[in-house]
Amino acid sequence: MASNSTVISLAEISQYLWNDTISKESVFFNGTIDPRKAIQLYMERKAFEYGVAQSLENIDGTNNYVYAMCGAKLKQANVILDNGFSGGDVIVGGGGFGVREYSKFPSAGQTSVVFQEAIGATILYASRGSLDVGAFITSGTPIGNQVLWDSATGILTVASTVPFVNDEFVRILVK
Amino acid sequence: MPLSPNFSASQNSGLPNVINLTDTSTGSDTSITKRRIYLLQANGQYLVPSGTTTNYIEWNITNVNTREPLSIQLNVLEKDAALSITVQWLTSSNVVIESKTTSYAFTAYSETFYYGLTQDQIANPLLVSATDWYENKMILRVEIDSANQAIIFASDIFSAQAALDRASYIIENSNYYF
Repeated sequence: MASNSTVISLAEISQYLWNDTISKESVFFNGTIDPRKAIQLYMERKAFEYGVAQSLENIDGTNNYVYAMCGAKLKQANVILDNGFSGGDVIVGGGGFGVREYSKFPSAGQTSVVFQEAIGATILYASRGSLDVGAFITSGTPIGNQVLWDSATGILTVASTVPFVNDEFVRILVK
Repeated sequence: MPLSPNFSASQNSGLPNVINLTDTSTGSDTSITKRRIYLLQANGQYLVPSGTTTNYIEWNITNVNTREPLSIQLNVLEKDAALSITVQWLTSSNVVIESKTTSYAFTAYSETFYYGLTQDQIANPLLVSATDWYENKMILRVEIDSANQAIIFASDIFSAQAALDRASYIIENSNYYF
């Protein structure tokens, strides 16, 4: 069972996801989803929050009820919650949920770039000036076309022999 | 260091009739020997425990260095209320040294009832499909939220009390609404 605080967050995320879905459904499918879905999530989440704060009876049952109410948005809500970013960073329907893309334009002579938004993420792909880089290493010093990815700091480092040129387009995909 | 006056108030589901006040002031002033609490209601009347003959409630200080006891429980609420609470810190000759006023919406009666509706729903999920039942629950939610927002955004105990009165009406007439 997910923790109470996790379920509260998932319900908050699912609420806005459902809210968006409902408006689209109303336009294109004449409302096949209960149009009160987002409202229900808000209402039950508020009750759940109060129950948690006051240690009321049947909190586990309420936890499960609110969790289940997130329904089909649960997976996406989990991804958003895990990544700590807004839904706008989720590539819906492409590359798999949770894959994120960032880019930077370092100055000439730099050998590393900080991707603050990618701290803690696993790197999947990187390119320099639209060309794929070589192997990823996670420790040591990169040589040739290797790149060093430090997940803890979000820093991508290239070999000192091949520093970036001015405004070089550096693109990464992480999850 | 002079006293920087502050206090907090809370209410809980188990004893919704009780307001818990805590003196959270920092600093000290040993000339302060007593506190007084004023619970101003939206109708302009002061709320006091039964048997109290003054507009205020005495909150004694037994240790002028620590201002203990730092908490007091006031058995004053028969239903949810929006209150403007003033705490005064006074000398033994009743000179007010410090004063602090904060507004609160006490919503435990309504929130607890609302939580109970969710429990009914868990036991009988079809209640969600009962339009009146669910819309009435929604109205109750709006009233509770409105009361809190009136306090948070404007310290407006009048609007907050009006919302809480509407919530109380729903609860008192729950046989009709749920």
